[in-house]
Amino acid sequence: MLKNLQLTCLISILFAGSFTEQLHAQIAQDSTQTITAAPKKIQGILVKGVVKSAKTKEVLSGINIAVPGFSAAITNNDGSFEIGVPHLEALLTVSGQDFQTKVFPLKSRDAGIEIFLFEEYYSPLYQVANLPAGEQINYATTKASSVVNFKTNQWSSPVKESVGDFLQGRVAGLNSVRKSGVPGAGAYLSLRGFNSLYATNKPLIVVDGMIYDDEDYGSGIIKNNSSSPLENIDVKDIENITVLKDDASLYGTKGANGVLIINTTRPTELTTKIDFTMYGAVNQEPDELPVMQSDAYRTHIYQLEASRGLAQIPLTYLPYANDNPGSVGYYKYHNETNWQDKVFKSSISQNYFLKVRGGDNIAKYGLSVGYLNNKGIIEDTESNRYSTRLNASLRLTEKLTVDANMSFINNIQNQRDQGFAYLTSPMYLALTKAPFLGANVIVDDGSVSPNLSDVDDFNVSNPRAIIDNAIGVNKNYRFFGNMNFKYVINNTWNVNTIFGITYNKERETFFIPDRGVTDIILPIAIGKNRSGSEVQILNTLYTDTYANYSKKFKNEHKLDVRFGFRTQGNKSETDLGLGYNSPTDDFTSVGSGSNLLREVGGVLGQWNWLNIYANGNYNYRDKYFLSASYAVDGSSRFGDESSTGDNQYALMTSITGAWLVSAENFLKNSNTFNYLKLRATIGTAGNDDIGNFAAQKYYISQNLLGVQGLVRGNIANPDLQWETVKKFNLGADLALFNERLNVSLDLFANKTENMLIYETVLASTGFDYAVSNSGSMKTRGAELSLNSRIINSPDFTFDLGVNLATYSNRVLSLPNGTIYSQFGGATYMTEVGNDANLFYGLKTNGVYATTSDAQADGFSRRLTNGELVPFKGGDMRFTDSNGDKVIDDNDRMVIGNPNPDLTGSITANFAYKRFYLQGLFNFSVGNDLYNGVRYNLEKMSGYENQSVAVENRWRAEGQQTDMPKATWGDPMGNASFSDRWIEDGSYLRLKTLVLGYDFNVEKMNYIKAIKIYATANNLFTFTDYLGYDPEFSATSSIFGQGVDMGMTPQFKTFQLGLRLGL
Amino acid sequence: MISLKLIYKILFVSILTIALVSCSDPWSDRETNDENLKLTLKEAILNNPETSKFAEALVKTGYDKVLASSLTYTVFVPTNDAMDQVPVSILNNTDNLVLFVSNHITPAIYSTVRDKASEKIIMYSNKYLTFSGTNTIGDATITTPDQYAKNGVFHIVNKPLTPKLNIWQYVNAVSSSSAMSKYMVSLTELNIYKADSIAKLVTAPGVYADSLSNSYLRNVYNLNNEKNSYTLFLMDDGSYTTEVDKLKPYLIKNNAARSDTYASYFTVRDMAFPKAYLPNELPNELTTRFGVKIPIDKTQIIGSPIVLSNGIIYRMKKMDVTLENRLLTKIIEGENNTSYFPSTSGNRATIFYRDRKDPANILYNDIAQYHRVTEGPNFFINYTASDMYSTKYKVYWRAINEQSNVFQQRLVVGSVFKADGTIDLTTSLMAFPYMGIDVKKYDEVYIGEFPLAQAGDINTISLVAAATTTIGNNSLTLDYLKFVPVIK
Repeated sequence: MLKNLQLTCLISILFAGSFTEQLHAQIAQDSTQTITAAPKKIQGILVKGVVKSAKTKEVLSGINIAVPGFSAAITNNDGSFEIGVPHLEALLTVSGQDFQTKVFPLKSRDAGIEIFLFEEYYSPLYQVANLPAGEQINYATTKASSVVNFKTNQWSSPVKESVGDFLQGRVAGLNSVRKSGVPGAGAYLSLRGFNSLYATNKPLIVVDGMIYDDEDYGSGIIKNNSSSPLENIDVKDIENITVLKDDASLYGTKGANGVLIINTTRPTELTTKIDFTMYGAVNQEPDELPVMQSDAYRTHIYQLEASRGLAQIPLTYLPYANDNPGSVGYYKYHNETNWQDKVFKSSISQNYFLKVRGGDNIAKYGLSVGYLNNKGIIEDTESNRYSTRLNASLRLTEKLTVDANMSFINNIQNQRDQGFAYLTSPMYLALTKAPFLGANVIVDDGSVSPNLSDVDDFNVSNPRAIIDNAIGVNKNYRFFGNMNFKYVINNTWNVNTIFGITYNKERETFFIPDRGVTDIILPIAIGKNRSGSEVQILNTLYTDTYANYSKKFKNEHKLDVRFGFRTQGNKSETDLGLGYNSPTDDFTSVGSGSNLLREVGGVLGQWNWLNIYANGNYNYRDKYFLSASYAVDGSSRFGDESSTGDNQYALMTSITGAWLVSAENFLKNSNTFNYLKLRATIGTAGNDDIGNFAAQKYYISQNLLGVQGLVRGNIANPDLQWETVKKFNLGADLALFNERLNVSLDLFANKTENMLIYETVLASTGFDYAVSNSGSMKTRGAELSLNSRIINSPDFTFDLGVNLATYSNRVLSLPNGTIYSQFGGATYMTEVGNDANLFYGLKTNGVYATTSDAQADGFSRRLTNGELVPFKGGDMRFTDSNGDKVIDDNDRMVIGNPNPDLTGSITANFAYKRFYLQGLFNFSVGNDLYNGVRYNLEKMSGYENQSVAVENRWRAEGQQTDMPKATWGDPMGNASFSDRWIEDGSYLRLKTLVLGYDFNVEKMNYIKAIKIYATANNLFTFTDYLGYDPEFSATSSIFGQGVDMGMTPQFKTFQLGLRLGL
Repeated sequence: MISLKLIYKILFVSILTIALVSCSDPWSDRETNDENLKLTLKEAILNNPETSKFAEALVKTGYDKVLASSLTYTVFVPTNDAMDQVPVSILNNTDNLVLFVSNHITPAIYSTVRDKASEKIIMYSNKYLTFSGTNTIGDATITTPDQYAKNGVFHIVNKPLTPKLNIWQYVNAVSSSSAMSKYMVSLTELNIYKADSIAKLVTAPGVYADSLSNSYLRNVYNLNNEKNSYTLFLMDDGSYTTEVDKLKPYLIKNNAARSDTYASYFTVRDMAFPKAYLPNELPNELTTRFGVKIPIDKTQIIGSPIVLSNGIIYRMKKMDVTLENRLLTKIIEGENNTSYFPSTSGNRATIFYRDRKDPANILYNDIAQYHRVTEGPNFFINYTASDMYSTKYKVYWRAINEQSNVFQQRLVVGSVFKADGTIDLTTSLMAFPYMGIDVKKYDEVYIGEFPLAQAGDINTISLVAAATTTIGNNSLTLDYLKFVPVIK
């Protein structure tokens, strides 16, 4: 009995402790545990009311009502309750199984209170945000933060979808662009546009309290593939992600781009719960781009060869110009090969996942094991992921607890070059290889050999040779684990220490065979086959030690303070070897390559960070909220000029406030406004992505005529410092019509100062640039997030959600004037007074139908030899912006903006009895794309196969068309970077469509849930974009966004899944 | 119930959207929408009522299949009116019709707007046509230019482009009625030079056999070559005989027939020129590739010039070429020696092939021999002279002595050698006496004359050094030898 009593006492203390520790105590995830012993009654005002279900309007019994730290009650069978409250502006915390825990402001009422409870995870208002200074319910937060709850959708999400993917469309202002359709390719994440030109724009990622490094430290020897460790976290392991958009000062010089705070599985429950899921998915090959067939292609290159200056007779002797069946080479050149069919292949992905949670009140655990086989649509590309995670929560003594979060993920990826790897990317080759050739050797009697054909007459590789005989393997693993010790001193004080390590190793190997692949030219040899091997290692040691103070005064004033310090020590290493010309294609390692040609290299990195921070949250009667943050940062990356001294430590501060207008008396009787909160933030945050050693002077080795020596590697800038971003945010959160409509609106302005610029320097210095903090820029924008329940009936519900975000950017100052940058064939311009990274090229205005039209304009182009050549019939009509009648770089103008005007998503969820149908649309409006793939498919200057639109090319005087003539080498620059290649990248995509059914398991013993899901991913995309897919990101730099360089496209997936809960 | 209806509505809307999606392909309006580009040349020509007769001929010859293929072509399509002008002999003979049709089709695309004012384009008949300006092809005029189709363009022309003979074919055709032609054709059997006989042995029979084996086509111009254009002056029989007779005394051989052959050859070889001169382009004098100046008397042209596929033939009543023009001075460069004697290796080191400037800064190459010690006297350097006329020659040399002393050397023409390799001066054709070579004298020096009884090559001409072992006195030097024929 005594033991029991002690136990209950312990539990109640535990809860009471947690009540005080959190602002509005609630344990959202703990639905099975009920408060078994109500805290002792405290004198107060008696309040009466009734709790009902929002869906059925039925009264609910057994619902917990509490004023944290003051009183608690349970509703009766008729749903009614009575509870004592300290004052009539108190908040009631209402929680019950299968319902979302909510807080309910009394608004001076003491009777006739009706509280409606929605199902779990319904309202964004009552989600608990995991903020840098501790958990806080959205209801009371002062910050622009959104919580993405994974629990509702994680089980039905497509298995190929990773964290970055999953987040797409779920938070207004968080733009997630999937890099490519390669299995395990990451996403380009940005929050609220961009704040930096040369430093990162990726938000900081924090997993279980520890910074998660999502950088790719290698050079990516498998061309245009990059690794993204974030992709290794299984969506099903995540409880929720808090997206903090404005006040990230507590993360000092790492918070400029906002923070994503990820919580993985929390062991909170005492009963053992087992979740087993299995998925099978069919990946559909993408819709093919319409390229020319054999006949049209032959006409095209035959014409092109004539324009090359090949006289008539040699023309007729071209190997493919022979139309005599049975003659030598006839069958080799008379095929109809759909190369896209040869490269793309529908595939099947599968995923098995087991999660076990349970424990007792001393030790709780959550263990998950997963296997994912994720295949791509380029034949033989796949990713095999084995993951384990153990999250444990141990109660060592009454006051000391430790949470351990440990994960180990091993990932083996099979990849091929992609993008503009002209000789080795199977997809690029499939688009551009001559359709009249075959993949296999065809002999003169027309029979087809099983051997793959070698490089063709046009010196183009055989994509099948790359798929069948090349090797591209990326094996990586990451251990990411931490221990979080917490010592509760008393109800108001506790001390925490997080100690964690990251160990990441990645091993990349590739081999490109000689047979079937075009040779490359090396400085001293011809490269036949080639091989490469790279190892990347990242070691991080992270600590975070802090103390919390939490106290409520007179039940009106609430103060929470956290102060502490973080340290992070990092080491990275990359070692790389490239080999060429091994004796045969069977020797695939770097070591078997020629000793003369082997190349080795590597990069070392090391950086340390220290951050001391303090935060205070204050609120008065849960109506007025104020929060202040302060952080001092030191980093090994900052310059250490002692004379100025002020660059050594960064000081970041912010202050945020909120006013809960709906708690005021003048709104208390409003039936429309259930909730209205106004928020404001002003603060600073920094960006320390300035290079590990850019502030230091360093030397690099150099070989001069066989003599090794050291030379200066850079121009050091001892004054180099972080970029500072000033952040302003105004926001409002609303809940209307009995919370059936929830709206959140934010206006923001970010101003970047001390922006990192690569300043051009005098050539006499021997360097191209020096790094300095000399630019500034601002980004402004707005976000709207809307969630509504349109139809609310016992059997049928329909929820509609809309997220909208927009931003615009303005460069305020640059030290060297306009910056021009190149990526993937596109030119970007960044100049003061305009948006950063605008597409900058020539403007076109159709094609000259006749030579006399062209002569009337009188424009000409200067060839490389200096000769001025006038435009003729069939050439593009460019706009001569400077009026000198010569079309050249001086006539370039802004022709597009890769930044979208508006991005967002629409979610529509239907639930009918046990069925539900969920649709997530995401869209982007007004972003321009440079279609580099189409440039290669319509430049008409070489042997590449071209799109069907090229059949419209200009051929004869007077022909009206918009496709210029085909000329070898394109001397007139008809295909130069111009608005011909800029397309509207707006799209609307049905990203996921889920049809689910939840079996009735009430009568089954042991089985807690059986659910089946049918999920379609990327079911359709409305777009005018002419590439495979309008969503791609080839680089992590902003100078490169919106350039389609032929990354593997995203594809449709149809998936069936089963979830079994035991 | 309400919800059921709603589900139907949702279903309807979703099916509608899927339908919409499948109908909206952004590429659809980028595919060919130009009706012309959907047709092949064959279809385009067939469909055009103006060109139906040529289309019939295309079908009859099988060229319609060529024009339906995926290579590119330019077709010059005669209108139906023009096709009516084509003689029946062509239309009714399959071989002729194939040749006729193929003379209208060419690989690659030729627009009427081009950079070159005029260019020769080869047709599938292997004949070239000249495409000049924007509207003239051969002798036809383009009436409707630049019609395009999927695999090329066609221009409608007002005249049929009937294939023409080339000069050689014409010469063959008139060989029975023209003595000059007959002679030219006879060179298919006869040889002028030794190499011609070898060519005749190795050449495989066929259309190009004449080009390789006929002594005229080999040594003068390949008048059977369609790629170039030539002008040939075809003399009337009378004029031809006169000209040949004029040359006969200078080409005396061991028998009269051979003399005739060579006299004819040296007459006829000067009648062809490597360019098609239209009458208005014809100058008053042309120089042959052999250096003979031929005066052109336009008044002697019979009728209008004969325009052929690879040039023009002018029939000439008279081509009076003076012997002064015909008989060419022979110059033998000193550095072009054929051998030397004694040919021991030590001597080669004393022979210098020099590259010099004379006092007037004019460059010249010559040969000089100096500082010969090891071998004894009687050293000589040999030359040959080809195509010499049977007449008296005056001989000059230019020999530049860069030593400080005057030394002696002599010339022996038609040298005859003894068994030991030295020259037998007594039996040699002509042994000029030793002459002193003055120091730094850059003038031509007359050294005498010699007669030549038979036309042909002089196989050995020797430059002989002084018979002494004194270094500096046994040197040799020669810039060139000049043999000037004397008219009888």
